[in-house]
Amino acid sequence: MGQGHSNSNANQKRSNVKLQAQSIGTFDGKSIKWHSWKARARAAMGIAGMLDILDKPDYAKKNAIDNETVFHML
Amino acid sequence: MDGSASHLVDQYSDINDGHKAFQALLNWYEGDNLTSDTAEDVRSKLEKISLSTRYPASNYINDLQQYNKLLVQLGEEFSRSYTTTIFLRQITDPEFQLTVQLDIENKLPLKDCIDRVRSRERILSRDKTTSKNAYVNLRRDNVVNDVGNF
Repeated sequence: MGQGHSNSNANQKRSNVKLQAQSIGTFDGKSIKWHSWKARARAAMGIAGMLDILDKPDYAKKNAIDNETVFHML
Repeated sequence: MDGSASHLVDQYSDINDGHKAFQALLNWYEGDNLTSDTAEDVRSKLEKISLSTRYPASNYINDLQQYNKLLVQLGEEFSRSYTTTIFLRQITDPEFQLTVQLDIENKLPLKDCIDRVRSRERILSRDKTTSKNAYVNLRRDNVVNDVGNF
């Protein structure tokens, strides 16, 4: 029961992350678009529960899998 | 991540470190040099847009507000009065010239100038629709008369 519940949470988190990754969109490197892309990225990371990975180095170190996920979202 | 920013992220691809990659982007795009380059870029774009017969007022206002917002984010905004000057100066569509002239004479603040240009656009759009409908009705009447004459 507990195992099933945690699997379901993990699946939900994974699908949420996928969804949020799509909403960030590709950043083409143009500085004029940086601020709007950053705002989208932060909002998406926030919804995916990963904003602390962006902002806190210690938190990122302790949560290596989420840190890797954030890398792939960027 | 594409283009010139990709090398900033790619340098962490062997360790897949999202935190460091994001910080690298932050340092690059919000470092002093690039910030002033960006501000210059935005200012030059702001001074190039115009409300012309080929570019609608709503798009022009939207662009101006977006560029202005970017400059505020960069801490490099123009003064309100200069922004108002730019806004009015770059309206070249003759249909708006009277509005512009009155705005200048009355020294209206930016928000009021924008509101007045918006309402002028609404009036013009309504007039266009009305005259288009009148033309369609006239054509229909002519066709009915022509058919009636046969």
